[in-house]
Amino acid sequence: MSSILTPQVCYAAAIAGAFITALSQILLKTQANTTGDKGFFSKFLNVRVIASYGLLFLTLAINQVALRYVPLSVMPCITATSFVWVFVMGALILKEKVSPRKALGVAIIIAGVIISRI
Amino acid sequence: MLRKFLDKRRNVFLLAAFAVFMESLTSPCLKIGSQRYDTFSAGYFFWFGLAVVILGIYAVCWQLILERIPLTTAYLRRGFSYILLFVWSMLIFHETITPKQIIGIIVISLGMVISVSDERKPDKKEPAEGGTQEV
Repeated sequence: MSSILTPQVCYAAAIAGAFITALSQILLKTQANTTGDKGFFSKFLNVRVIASYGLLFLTLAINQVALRYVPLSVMPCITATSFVWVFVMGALILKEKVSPRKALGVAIIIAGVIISRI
Repeated sequence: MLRKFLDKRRNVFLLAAFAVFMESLTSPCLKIGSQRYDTFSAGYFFWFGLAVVILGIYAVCWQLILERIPLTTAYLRRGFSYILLFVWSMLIFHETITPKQIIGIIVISLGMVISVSDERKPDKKEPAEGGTQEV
């Protein structure tokens, strides 16, 4: 086990975790958009919500493996990449409005990630 | 009662702040488990379990928030937990924070503030049913 877990593998795992997080958020939002005045529990007990929490659970396990070598202070940079995925998927899949300001914000976030990693 | 509480936009943001704080605590739990205990030992799973419990509380808050504000906005706000994460990494793990990391996190936060500032528009009262498409 420990021979597989090189620092490189840990970093790759953390990046994969960020993408899976974004996927689960999109899944949650597609469900939240369809929920009307139904009961409190029906909001939480349905296939999409359970699947997205399953993905979050998976991310958590991946992150714990990754954090063996990835410093906690580096995690913000890696998880910030999921912002970009959510922004893109929010526009493409959920058809959320892309305002110039939000696009600028995401561009600046990307710049921030680059600055801290160069 | 909860529905009434969340009718006030300020309360939605209070809940978001609480969710952000809870979320910032999950990664430190995971790191304590994987760094200070053998992989798949009892201690490893204890800290994983604690992270799951914290994340569970966060997830319920998050689901309630998502129904009331667009995902892109809500998700960007979550990034404030990164600043808290820096504090935990210094306090708990004694990690060194480089100037580049500080500049990076300021720039990332700036990007978040710019996106969040987009909310100060009259389309605030968005019904939960309507989703975000009609704005």
